Amino acid sequence: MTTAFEFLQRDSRQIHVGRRAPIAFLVATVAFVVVAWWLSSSASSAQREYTRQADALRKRQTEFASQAAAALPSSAQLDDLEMRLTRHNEMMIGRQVSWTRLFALLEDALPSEAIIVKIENALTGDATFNAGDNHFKMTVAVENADAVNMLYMNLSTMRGIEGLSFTPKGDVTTQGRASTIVEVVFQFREGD
Amino acid sequence: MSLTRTITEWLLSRVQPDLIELGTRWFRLLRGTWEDGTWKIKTAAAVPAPRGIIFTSYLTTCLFSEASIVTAIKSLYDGIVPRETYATLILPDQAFHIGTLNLSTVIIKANPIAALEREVQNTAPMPLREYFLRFEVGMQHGNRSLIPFCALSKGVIAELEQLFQGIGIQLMSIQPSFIGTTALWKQIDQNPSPNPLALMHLGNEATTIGIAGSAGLKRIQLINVGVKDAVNALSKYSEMTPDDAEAAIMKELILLDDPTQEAQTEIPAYKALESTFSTWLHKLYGILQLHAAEVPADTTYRQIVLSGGGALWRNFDRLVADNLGLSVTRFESVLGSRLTSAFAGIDVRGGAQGFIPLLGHLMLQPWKLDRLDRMAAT
Repeated sequence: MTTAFEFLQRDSRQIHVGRRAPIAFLVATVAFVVVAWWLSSSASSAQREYTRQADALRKRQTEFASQAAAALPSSAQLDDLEMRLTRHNEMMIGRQVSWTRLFALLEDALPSEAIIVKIENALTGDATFNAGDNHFKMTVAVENADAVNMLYMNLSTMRGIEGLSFTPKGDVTTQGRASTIVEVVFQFREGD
Repeated sequence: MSLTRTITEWLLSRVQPDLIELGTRWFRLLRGTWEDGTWKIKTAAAVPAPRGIIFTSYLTTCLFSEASIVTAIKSLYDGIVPRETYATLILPDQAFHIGTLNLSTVIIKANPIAALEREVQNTAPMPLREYFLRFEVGMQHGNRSLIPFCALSKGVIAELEQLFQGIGIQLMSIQPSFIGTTALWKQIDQNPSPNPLALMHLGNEATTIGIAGSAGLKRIQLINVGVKDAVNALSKYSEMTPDDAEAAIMKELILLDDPTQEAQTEIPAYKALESTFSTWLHKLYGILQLHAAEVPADTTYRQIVLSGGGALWRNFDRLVADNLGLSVTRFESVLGSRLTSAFAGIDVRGGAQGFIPLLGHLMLQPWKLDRLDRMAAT
């Protein structure tokens, strides 16, 4: 019932959007476009400013790095300064041995398969050293021949190690491992 | 699709068309909703119809004084029609060529339109091409079916569309008045029964008689005799104005409490109205007999329900009941407190009972989701 007796044609039965709705839509659209354009412009401007400041910062960073590099003394100057300091020290208090530097050299020279067993005064045969004593006899336990060769090569090429004597003493077991005892005698002279 | 549906639902919920009834006695406006079994009326207004409007299925036009009609419609809105106003237009039944066909079910299944058009053309006063024809295949009985039909002049529709467009009102629907009355009765009928009843709406210029069952309308017929005929007859006889004549029929004892008494014929005013009353009774009787003859299962009628201006006449219900031997009730009295509470605080000219068809149409709000004939907003 009732659905059959509708006399207004279907095409006429339509909701017409009035004037206010299209105007509101138009205004909203224009506002949206304007805001979007403003936001886009602001973003572009901010991006350009960021790029400019980033470039300036990188440039200043490079300049600082150059200035810092220029301010640093050259290695030749540092070596010269070190040598002169050592000479002055020797003139004032006699020759001194820097144990720190010696152990630093030994740490670089020793391969991982080698361990120092004993360090003695090469002149007295005791493990006591006066201020100027720079003759050392070091007993090293090395696991294999390659490590022995490497140790010899390292010590022989190091500055400050002079009069190097390298004498194998036979095989022993050290800390549960089989190794070769090598007696190393040398004179440590720094600053020359 | 869901977005489109959401937008459509939003538009439909916002656009609640007003109900405008253009009668030949009153123009009425009703705005409100039907929710949870009650009416919530926001606005109800009625103004006297101007003389320049004539509704009949014999003419392709209905407006004869457009300016006065526009003024009357605007006065429903206190002179200013709000922007984006939508309206469902209710026209009096006499604007339509109304009837019911009793066709063979075989013919209906074979070519219903051709059969229907042929049958309608036999009774339509104008060529069928002048009308928009609407029909509904209704109750089937045996190998035949009843088909209520309704035709409205295309010229009238175009004229009304143009009129309302000029006023600034967008029409969403045009329907006959009886649709609302029938729908409302179906809703409020407290004792639905397999026996049919007769809905008799006494309009100003015509009377609509519908035979309704529990499932809805079975038959609809129009009688070209209305309240106006009785008022004019009394006015002419008593030499009083039509308004006075109408008031006299309403209040004075023209019809006795027992109209079958011999004393009834001695009342002078009754003599003036007797032929009109007789026409009503004969036509109504004829339609009831015709329906009973065509549908043997409907020989026992439950009651007659009166609505419209004539239903208010003093003892008219008794006249019908005593002459036809059926119980008669008034639509208004069945509605009872529901009508009163719906119009609580709203004072309308002509009385709230005149809004009965509109209240029925309000229940059929086409923007409701569960409606089949939703507006074509999609």
